[in-house]
Amino acid sequence: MKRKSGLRAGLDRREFLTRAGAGAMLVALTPRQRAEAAALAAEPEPSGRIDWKKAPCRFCGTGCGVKVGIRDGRAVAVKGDRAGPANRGLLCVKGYHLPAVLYGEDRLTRPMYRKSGAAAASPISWNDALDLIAEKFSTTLKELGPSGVAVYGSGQWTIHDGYTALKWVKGGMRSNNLEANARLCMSSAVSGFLTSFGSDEPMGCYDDFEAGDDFVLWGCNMAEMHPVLFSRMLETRRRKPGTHIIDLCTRSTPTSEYADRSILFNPGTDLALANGILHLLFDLQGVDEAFIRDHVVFKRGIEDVKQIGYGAFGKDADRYTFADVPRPSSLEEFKALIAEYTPAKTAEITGVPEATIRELASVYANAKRGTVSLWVMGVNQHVRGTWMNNLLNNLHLLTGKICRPGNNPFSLTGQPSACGTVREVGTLANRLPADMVVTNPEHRAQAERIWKVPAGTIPEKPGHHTMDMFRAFQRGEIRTMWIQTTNPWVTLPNLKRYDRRPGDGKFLVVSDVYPTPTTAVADLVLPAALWIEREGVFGNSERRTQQWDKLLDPPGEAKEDAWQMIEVARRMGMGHLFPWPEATWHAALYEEYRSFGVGIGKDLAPYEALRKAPGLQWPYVKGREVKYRYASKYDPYAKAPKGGVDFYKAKADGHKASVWFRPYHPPAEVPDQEFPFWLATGRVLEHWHSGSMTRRIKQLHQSVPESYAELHPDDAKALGVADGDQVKVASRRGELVLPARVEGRGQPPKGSVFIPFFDEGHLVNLVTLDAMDNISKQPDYKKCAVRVTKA
Amino acid sequence: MILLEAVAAAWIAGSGHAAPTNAAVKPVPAPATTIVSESTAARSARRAYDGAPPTIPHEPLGGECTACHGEEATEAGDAVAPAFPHAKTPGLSDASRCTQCHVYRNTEQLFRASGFTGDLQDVNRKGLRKTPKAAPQRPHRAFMREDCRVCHLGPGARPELVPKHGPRPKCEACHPTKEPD
Repeated sequence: MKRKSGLRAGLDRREFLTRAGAGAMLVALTPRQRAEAAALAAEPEPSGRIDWKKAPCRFCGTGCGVKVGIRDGRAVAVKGDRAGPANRGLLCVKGYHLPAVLYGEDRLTRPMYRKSGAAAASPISWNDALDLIAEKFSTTLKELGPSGVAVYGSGQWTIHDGYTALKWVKGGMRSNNLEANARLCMSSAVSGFLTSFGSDEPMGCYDDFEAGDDFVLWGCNMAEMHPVLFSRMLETRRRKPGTHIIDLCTRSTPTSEYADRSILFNPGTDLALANGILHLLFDLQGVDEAFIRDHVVFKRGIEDVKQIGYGAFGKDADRYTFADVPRPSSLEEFKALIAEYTPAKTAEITGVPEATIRELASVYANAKRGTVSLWVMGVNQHVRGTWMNNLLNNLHLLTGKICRPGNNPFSLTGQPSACGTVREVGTLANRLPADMVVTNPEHRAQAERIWKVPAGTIPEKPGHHTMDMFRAFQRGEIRTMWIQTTNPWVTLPNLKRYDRRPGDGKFLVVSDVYPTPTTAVADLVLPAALWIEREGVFGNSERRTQQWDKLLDPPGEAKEDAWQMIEVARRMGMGHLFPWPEATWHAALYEEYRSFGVGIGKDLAPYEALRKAPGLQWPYVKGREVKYRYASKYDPYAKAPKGGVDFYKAKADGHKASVWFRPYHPPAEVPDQEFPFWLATGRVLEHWHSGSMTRRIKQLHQSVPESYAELHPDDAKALGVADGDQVKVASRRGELVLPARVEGRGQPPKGSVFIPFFDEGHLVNLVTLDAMDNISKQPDYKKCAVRVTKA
Repeated sequence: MILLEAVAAAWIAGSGHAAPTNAAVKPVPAPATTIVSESTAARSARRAYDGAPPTIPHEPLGGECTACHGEEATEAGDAVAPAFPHAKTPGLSDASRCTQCHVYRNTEQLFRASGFTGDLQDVNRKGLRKTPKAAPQRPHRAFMREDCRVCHLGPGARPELVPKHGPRPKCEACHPTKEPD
């Protein structure tokens, strides 16, 4: 019914009742109408008003847009934002249950301090807590210098949190001991992009999920880890027959069930497989010679396994400081070097049949079909993760299948702002915003200029990378440390190394939202505001920046992470770094940060534009997003004729990308008689990261209430173990007992076991090995040797 | 006085605009209150809030979900597997992976107590109406629930959701969506 009267159109039920109840209008009503009005008034108010406000999802790096339903100061519902470019209205089960993440009854609501020697923590005021932190950091700086302090943050930090930490640690305390947990999940992709293209983050975007023909998944279980993007891929296959999803894996997963091909390879042999494919590309005439001539240089680095090591044995087990030494190579040398990866040899190393390797090569070699390579932790959490990233980039560079729709290497991310906060802001020991590094004097000078701090403030020597940071804390070289928004006492590999009791003379502050094994070892625990309890910005996998407003008050005395650091900085006499007014500091801080990247191809969208959109991609130039970087058809920074490619960030190489020769090296530890099983760790759909949030959500916990050891049925039979029986999984480092899962959602091949890491009650990281990538220093959680016995 | 007249006139005009009855369709009797509250309670137990994906109320049965939750509902004895409701949802189809959103309940325990209360349907709640006689507005968005018949006509539809006027074409004509997509 169209309402003709403007008055009528604006009259809702509430108004009608108000007016009817006012009495005067009753004269115009019949007795029956009056009775109906009375009945309507007696009905409870239909759904109290819900306000729907935009925010990005709090969980993975996909960056789904949500609308949060707020009623009476509480989040009561959520719906997928149909305007969200990543998800177009869809969500996964975690996203749908977002509001419940705020309301676990054990939320941390006040600062708690465990005095040296005290058995338990007791409440402390914010003022006293902040004074105490300032005093501890100041004293340590005085006694040990900048190397004695450390801040360890997260890919779940907002850009505001990360930039605050960066400015305070590097520009205030003059220390480079700033790291974030993205070191454990994304840093191999960072060093891969940097060494291949001279700039971090992908050239492609999620549009590739519709534009591509062949999707090659290198060791990633997208059905569980990136469900919404997986849905987009499935939908593309339905609408565009002939689309292929190829799953390369070391364990059959739900992704394998949906893939057109699922190909198992031996753990850690993906480098041999990629080299085998690269080798065949030349035989199949699959290389784009013109593209190579115009856009590619060849390089090599240190390749001797003895010289490189694994970061976990001998003196490397205490400090691992390997640095690669790049040298120029050539197409001829590259061809000669990969000649050893014949199909026969590749098949022998990888366990993949020769014919299958040829098929895979023909996928990349087919110039008529769009090829998208996708990867996450299988490639990144790898003792040669950077190398593997280089090889995936090589596949696209040699075939010219890059920088155009449906043809790209695309690194997926696991945390909501691993890209936005850790990689773009640069909250890592060696980095500054917008791809800059502390080792470059011009970069340091630029940061010092923007920050208005004296020249020479930022030290040129990188700080400890995460693995070494925690080792240094154990050694006592770092005495005062602040951890925010992450849970390393669940997530670090080889956890036993970090046994700690508060009151050991060091000082550990932990800011979080729930009690965790990490808050349990802290001297001081601070309650943090979570997600929509404060204003913030995240950056997702496809270079998209997403802003949201504060929609709720945090519980009790909980405070935003950035605020906590700013207050400590003020108490240390570094308040001048944060000069913005209380009411508008979020916009002001962001605009200062944004100034780092403007004009150099790292242009983030202005804050006001972000406020109005579900998310905007960078480079954002003259009000326009760039979908494909380095392609002049899309990217105004690329100067190339006919919409061509210009790798403009690779200045040192004449605007050319680098194809690296990277040989196969065996994993750091392989099964033997004593420890005959491979162990891989990972995630499940329902739980996110260390589970401290998702386990407090009823529907997610009730679906997967605890961790388990997934076994092949033949192995289970040989061990005399049935589904649900307790098994002991032991390595050279530690052991745990947990239920076996024989007919679960995934199946590891014979001789291997898979354990999810979300469960603080079953800490698989007591067993894992702390071997790491030689360049990114990212640990390998996917491969170590264990023994499995019936418990 | 002009205001009052306009309100009364509009109300009377509105009440005269009820949709024409469809004589061929037998009206469904109004359900008893107890049934309504039971089925609403059962529904609420499987959802965090209205609009959240329901958890799966049965054991894993093997095979494709769409074998039972197909284009039409499947009835087996007292049990009804409702039809697949997202066939017209942009981006979804029966080729999608149902368990990305719908998960099993493998325990009744909680890890930690939760104070979350979602916006769940109140058994006494009526749809928002402009006036007492107007058809209620749709209280949820259409996205992902484009096919009204799955929940409102069944088989397997909760009795309180079945319209008294029986099936009619073009639900949106009389029941506009209150909530934008």
